Amino acid sequence: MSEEESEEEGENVRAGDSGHCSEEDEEESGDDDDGEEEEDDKEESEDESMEEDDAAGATMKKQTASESEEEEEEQGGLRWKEGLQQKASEAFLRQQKAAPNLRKLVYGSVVEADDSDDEEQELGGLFRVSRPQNS
Amino acid sequence: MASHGLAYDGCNFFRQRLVLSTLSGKRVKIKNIRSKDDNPGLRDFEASLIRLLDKVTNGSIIEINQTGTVLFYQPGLLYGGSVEHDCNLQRSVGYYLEALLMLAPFMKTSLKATLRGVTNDPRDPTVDMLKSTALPLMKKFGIDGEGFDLKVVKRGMAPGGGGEVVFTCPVRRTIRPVQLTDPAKIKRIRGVAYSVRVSPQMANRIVESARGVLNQFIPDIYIYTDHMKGANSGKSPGFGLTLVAETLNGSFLSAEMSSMPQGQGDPKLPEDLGRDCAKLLLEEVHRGGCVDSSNQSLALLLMTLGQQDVSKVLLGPLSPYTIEFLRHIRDFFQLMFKIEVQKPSEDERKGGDKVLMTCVGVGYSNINKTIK
Repeated sequence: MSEEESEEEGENVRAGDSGHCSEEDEEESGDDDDGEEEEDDKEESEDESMEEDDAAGATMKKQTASESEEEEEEQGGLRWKEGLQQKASEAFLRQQKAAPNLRKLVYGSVVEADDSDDEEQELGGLFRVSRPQNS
Repeated sequence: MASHGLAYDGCNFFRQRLVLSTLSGKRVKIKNIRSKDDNPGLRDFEASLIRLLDKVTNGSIIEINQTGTVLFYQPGLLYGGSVEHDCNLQRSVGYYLEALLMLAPFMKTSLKATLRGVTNDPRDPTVDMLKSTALPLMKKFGIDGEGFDLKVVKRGMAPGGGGEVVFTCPVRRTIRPVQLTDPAKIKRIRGVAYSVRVSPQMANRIVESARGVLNQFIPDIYIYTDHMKGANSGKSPGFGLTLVAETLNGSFLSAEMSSMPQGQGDPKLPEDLGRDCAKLLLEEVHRGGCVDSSNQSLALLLMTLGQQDVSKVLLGPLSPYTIEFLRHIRDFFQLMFKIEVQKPSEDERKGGDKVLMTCVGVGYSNINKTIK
């Protein structure tokens, strides 16, 4: 059996299995990860090489990115919960990298101090007189 | 509007507003000071600050309404001279001293202030920290001389207080513009581990654990232990650590930590305190810049008040307090800084993003100072 054949077989098996993951998810995760793709792939291939059964295990190294994502979906719907902290920290760092215009942030909103309140209406700056006193 | 000077709302940044008002000579009116609070109006420590301002100025008009929710302040001339003040125990002497540091160079006669109260608490910058960072910073702006000193006579921990600090500062007619754009590498680390009314061994335990963290990075570390006894030890027990990292170009970055006041919060082991404080220092070094985060506003103020020339200072990330200070500088002095983000290059490994602040001083000259 050549390596290519075995790969096809493995793919077929997977396609049959993955009933619980939708196409959308796949696309989304494909779009998002452009920066992190390399890392993710490495992790996955490591994970799988430990868990995977005989046929697929041999051809692991040859997998393309899309295939490895299929694998991810296959392992369970709760896979997205993994590495949330890392994802969050990466998103945070990415946001920080986009340099903000600090000058605008500091001076941007011009707050006009309003001094037009009439003084007579207030007693001690705390209580407001709603009607004039009778006594 | 013009008749009332500047108007503000709420109790935040109270100190900034009063200090800038005093320096610029603009009247300020602050309304709605905790007007929705169960306990409305000015707090005791704020009233104490107003009293201190009244002592160092001549001819100030201060009007506070009955409930203390509205304050009107018309600053007089900064007089200086010999001043004694019992600071309120709610805040430490550092709170009052930070205001005095900003005002002292612009007095008529050189200031000699004796402040009594809490010298070290976890909330405000302690006297030791101001001594080791704010003073060298001011020296760069041309404020120095033999009369420039901050001395801890007695140490008083929160909540009891009982400490005493003497601050002397010469007056200057103008402030020198500065160009601080390269902090360079850390040269050495110094520190003070203090303990009062506890075992003197506490300070040693702090030093040991702090060194355990810092020795991995730099060999030149010396942390003094300062154990005050008897009448000099204040009224409450406590301990703490102040660490200062000095760079090759003479910038100072500091971090500090104090034990929680007696009867408040969980007690902290001196070992933990030393280790945490050392980590805080590492974080401060990561933030970097030529001025550490607690003195950013002081540096910006002195840049603003410099001669009409360009000043540049490289800071770490701006603290929220500094951002508000920048807005207040715009209100009082009509000066806006040029703010540029400087990213450290990949191979340089100089910590987090830096901010380069550039401005042209307003050409402030000390009108209070007598010309001899």
